[in-house]
Amino acid sequence: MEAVLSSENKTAEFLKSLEMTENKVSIPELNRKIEEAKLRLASTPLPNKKQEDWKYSKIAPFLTKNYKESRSNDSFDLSRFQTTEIKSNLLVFVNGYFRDDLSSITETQEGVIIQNMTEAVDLFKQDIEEHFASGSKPSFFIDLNTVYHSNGVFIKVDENVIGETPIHLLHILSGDNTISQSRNLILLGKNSKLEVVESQFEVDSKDSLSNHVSEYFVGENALLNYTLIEKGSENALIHSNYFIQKDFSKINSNVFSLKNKLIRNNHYARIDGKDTETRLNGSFMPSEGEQVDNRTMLDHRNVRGFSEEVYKGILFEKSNAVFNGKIFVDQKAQQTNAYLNNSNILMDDSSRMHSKPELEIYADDVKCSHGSATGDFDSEAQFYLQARGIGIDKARNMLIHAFMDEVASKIENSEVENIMKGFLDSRMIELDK
Amino acid sequence: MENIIKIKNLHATLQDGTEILKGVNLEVKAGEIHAIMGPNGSGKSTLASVLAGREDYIVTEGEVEYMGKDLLDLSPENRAREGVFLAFQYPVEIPGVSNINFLKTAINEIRAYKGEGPIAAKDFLKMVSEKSKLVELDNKLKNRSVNEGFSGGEKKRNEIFQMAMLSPTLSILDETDSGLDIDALRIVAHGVNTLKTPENASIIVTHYQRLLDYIIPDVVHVLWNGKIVKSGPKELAMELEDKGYDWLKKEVITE
Repeated sequence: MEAVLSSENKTAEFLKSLEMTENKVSIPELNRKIEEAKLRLASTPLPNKKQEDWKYSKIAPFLTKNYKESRSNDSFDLSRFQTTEIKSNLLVFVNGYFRDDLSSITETQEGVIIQNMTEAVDLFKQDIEEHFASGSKPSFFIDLNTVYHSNGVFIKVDENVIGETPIHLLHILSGDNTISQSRNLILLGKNSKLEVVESQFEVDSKDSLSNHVSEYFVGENALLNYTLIEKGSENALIHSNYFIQKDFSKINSNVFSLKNKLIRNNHYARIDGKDTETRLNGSFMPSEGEQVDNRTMLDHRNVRGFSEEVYKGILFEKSNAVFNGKIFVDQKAQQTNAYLNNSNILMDDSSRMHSKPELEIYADDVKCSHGSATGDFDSEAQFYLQARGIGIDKARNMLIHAFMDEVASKIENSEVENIMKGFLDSRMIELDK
Repeated sequence: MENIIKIKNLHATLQDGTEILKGVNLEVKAGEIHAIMGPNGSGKSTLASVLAGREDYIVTEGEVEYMGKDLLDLSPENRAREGVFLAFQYPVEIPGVSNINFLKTAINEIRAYKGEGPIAAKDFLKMVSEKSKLVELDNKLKNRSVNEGFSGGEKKRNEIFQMAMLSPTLSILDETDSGLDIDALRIVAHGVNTLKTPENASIIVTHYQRLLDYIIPDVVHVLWNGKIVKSGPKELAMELEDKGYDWLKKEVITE
């Protein structure tokens, strides 16, 4: 009989196959966290469909490849990515490595620190010691990132500072069998404000894996506006964001999963403070066997938190998507007001949508509602538009836009909103043939 | 007088093969209003849908000549561009598409079809303000999503507003009176009467005679079991109201 590998052994095998170096830094506390993650990782089963967390998305084919780190010195024509048109301080990462030569931090401002993580470890030792890996929750991919991440960015906005220029983190994945893992730490001081745009693209890349992790610590009365644009093609992308909120803070997160073989978003808000506002929104549009898996968590731990979550998907040709959104309301989190909605359109019978909104409430004075609806394209509405003289292609385009633009319209920065709507438009025209 | 539409021996079935229209003949000339009445399930709404090009039905026999063209050969949007307008029995709600943007797109698509450039913003707004007065459409409804959250009466008035904006050659009103209170009915009828010209025509599909108190038809037809079984002057509608459809069924069977 052939020996069947236990899932832990599969993990060992996967880790052995990676050509990567473990992280070791000058901060003992950090090294302790990395060591912990390493131990935990070794005893964590390789993600597979038997786990609740990976029940509906096929991750297995992406864990059989021999990934290697790849520090590239290639130059790229950044204008092709369009998001570079956004007025911002641009930080470019290629395969998870910061590229000073491609980045342009032109709008410097007192009280806004933007630092390559490798250098920040020495310069902002205390901040990093206190926050690094303290907002994220251990899991296979988080630990993998903690142990093996390349580098990333450290951003700190001081108390009472309004960040005037958006910070744009642009990830480029390049080459085959590449693993790209950035690790970012963003700290917003009391009464501060910051906008972060993150975008992810690929250039001549296949059989590769991205696994980015960011932790955002949003201070008292601070505001974070965040937009994520995922525009890959042939690869798998695991994207994890952890937002930790203090009293009176606000975050607005808008996530657009335009294309990739597999996209998994783990977006988690831990609401420690009272009187907060949290908005997590997303749009996704998989096609041709692609998978998008959105996991969100609104973890209300204090009083009078307001949260709103809108996720919308359009599924084309044999695609598969998951929305698993959880609202957790702790016993202490009285007067929480939480709203969650997921709606999806299946463009044909070959696609699958798994929608699972969850409420777990331990407080007795709360207002929570959730809804989920998945249906076919509204052909009656299409006929209505045609009956008024609007051509069939235009009619379909109008209806798809009407559905999908809701989330893009929530972006506060109109430059980002317009670019995003442009992406949606070209993606929809490409898909609705 | 010039023929607007000429329907000859029209047969139509549902996708499953059930025959609904079993040989409809109808001619409507410019300047005329025709009413099509009949009991539930007689095929009235099917006729309206087939003329507008709804894909739920298959035409198995017969022909429809509209302004010298083969209507059945045209896509739904090209029928609209050629001047056919269907006022829906159940106007569709379209969240996320504003009423105004929808109409502007429709007008420009029709203009492009005729080889004309887009309408000037100024002219468009002027037209909106004029035509919405006709059906007393609330200003705020114009900027809302198409029919979303509109009351039954508002939806029907919005249909007539669209009709006024597109100024069709042939209007087909499918049970426009259903679900309307007497005030809304009056407003809708006023709209239709005002839009009447010697060059256009209307087909009014209705179950009740009520609407015909306000819109006086030139000819009344009775559709029953997929065929027009009786046609007559406007008095026929009143006779139907008095005697009910059963009277007619008996008469048809005896014949």
